[in-house]
Amino acid sequence: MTDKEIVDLYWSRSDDAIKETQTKYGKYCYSVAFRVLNDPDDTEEVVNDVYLGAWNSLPPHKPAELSTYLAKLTRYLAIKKWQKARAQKRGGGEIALTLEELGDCIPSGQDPEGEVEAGELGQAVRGFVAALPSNERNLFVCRYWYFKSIDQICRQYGFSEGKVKSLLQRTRTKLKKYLIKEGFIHEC
Amino acid sequence: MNAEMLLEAIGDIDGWAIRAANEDQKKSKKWVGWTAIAASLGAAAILCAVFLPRHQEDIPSDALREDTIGSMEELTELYGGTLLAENLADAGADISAIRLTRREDTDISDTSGWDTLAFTANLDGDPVTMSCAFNTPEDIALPGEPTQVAEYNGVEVYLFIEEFTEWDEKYKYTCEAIFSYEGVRYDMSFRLREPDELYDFLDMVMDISHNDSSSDISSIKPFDTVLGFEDYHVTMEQVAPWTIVWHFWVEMDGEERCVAETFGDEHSFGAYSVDLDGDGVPELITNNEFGDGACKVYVYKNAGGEIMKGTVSRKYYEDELGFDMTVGAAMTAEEHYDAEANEFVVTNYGMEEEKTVTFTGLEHFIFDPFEHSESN
Repeated sequence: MTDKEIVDLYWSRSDDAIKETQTKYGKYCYSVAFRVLNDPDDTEEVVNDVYLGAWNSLPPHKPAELSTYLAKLTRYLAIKKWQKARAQKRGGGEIALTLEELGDCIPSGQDPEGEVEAGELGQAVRGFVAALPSNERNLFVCRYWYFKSIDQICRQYGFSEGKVKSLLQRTRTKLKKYLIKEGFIHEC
Repeated sequence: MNAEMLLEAIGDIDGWAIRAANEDQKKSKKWVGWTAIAASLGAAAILCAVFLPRHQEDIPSDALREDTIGSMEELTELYGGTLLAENLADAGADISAIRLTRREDTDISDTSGWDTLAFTANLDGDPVTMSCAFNTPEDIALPGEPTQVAEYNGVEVYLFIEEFTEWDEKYKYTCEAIFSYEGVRYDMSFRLREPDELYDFLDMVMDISHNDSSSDISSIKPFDTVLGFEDYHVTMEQVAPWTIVWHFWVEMDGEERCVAETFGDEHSFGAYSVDLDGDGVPELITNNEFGDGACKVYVYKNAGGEIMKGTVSRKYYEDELGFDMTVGAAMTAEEHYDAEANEFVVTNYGMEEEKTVTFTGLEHFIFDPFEHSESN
């Protein structure tokens, strides 16, 4: 079934909408959420929340790319779930490692709770990622959007672990410089 | 600011980048097709020319370095040619960053070593990014199937339009435009409040003014003739979000006239040129999709120079099929032309028993003179 047909099912409030979404994108959503949560029960819960979120938002939304719409929704809900689980001192998948790595982009001495307008930061990061050379961009997205492990990325691209780590390091350094230049963080 | 805020911000990156990273592992096997619009035009000649492999970068990433260029003036001096980013600047965009990625072993003034030039800009408060890739093959590698293909002065622009998810209140859509111009591959990303803003933006960047309507976005020739006219062209017009009207234009009596039109969503171009009545002049059969998904068939016919538009007669539905065509009745006659079987298919929805009938030819159509009315 095409994405458009599935979206039409949501719009016509057909019960089949969720069934078809599950059939076509269930595994995809599961893998996106699992990389964040590393817990089958939490992941199942998030994926069910994704179906509910899709049911509640289609309509009014009519995404041209259902896969991307669901993936963004999944990532967003999985991170929220992870934050909640962390507060309860449990769980945590690849996201904990990626957070450590992204810490490289934030020089010490920053106010960790310092106010940053989320929309402006999102916009800046989006611009930064869009302008990266494609190899670097794909690796960056795999690691920090999809939370894929270094090992998975090596297998996906046929690169050595050293090369993946070095490319990611290079991109994080660029991102740090960019965030300083754009005024989101200051150099210490 | 902390790493967690950064991690959440990364969630806001463009859908095309997310798709590209996910699809990249399949790139050795996967060939990227063109838009469903082009596909549905049925022109094999068009399609075989445009099935493209994904672009493989020639320069390894670790042989590249990045520089910041201070201003557009400095860039113009270095590059020595015209880049469409100048149109952005001329339109008043505040270009906040120009980043050049180039071969580490070349001088910055040697443009043959340039790999990518990235602009981050702000146009009247709206974010815009533009990336220019040099030394790319003529074939444009696409990150997926475009939602639309526009044409500006012979330049084909591949558009990826996505409706935003609920956590962006200001913008409704995000758009990615990819095209190749004077040997440079452009990749622009911007956000929209309304779909029509897309064409204003492209007009500005491509620096092209349209004759009459800024929303005519493509010119395509799917058939040898339309209603017997060899000299014709088709334009696409977006009349509402997700609704496209395709107009068929010919020259008649010294003036350009629209002789047929078909509408649907951006994926559903459905027109067929078939001689149904055997008079030697093919009719134009169109499958049209309304916003609620209901479909209706219109057949256009050239009756000795007078253009007629035909619809299936209510009498046929009511008398012969027993359909309730009363205005307001829950029943919907869902019509479409099946080109493969060369027959019309009608299904009645809403009656106690769903019923589908098929028929051929024009016997059940009623024709009236076609008057084209401007939709904008």
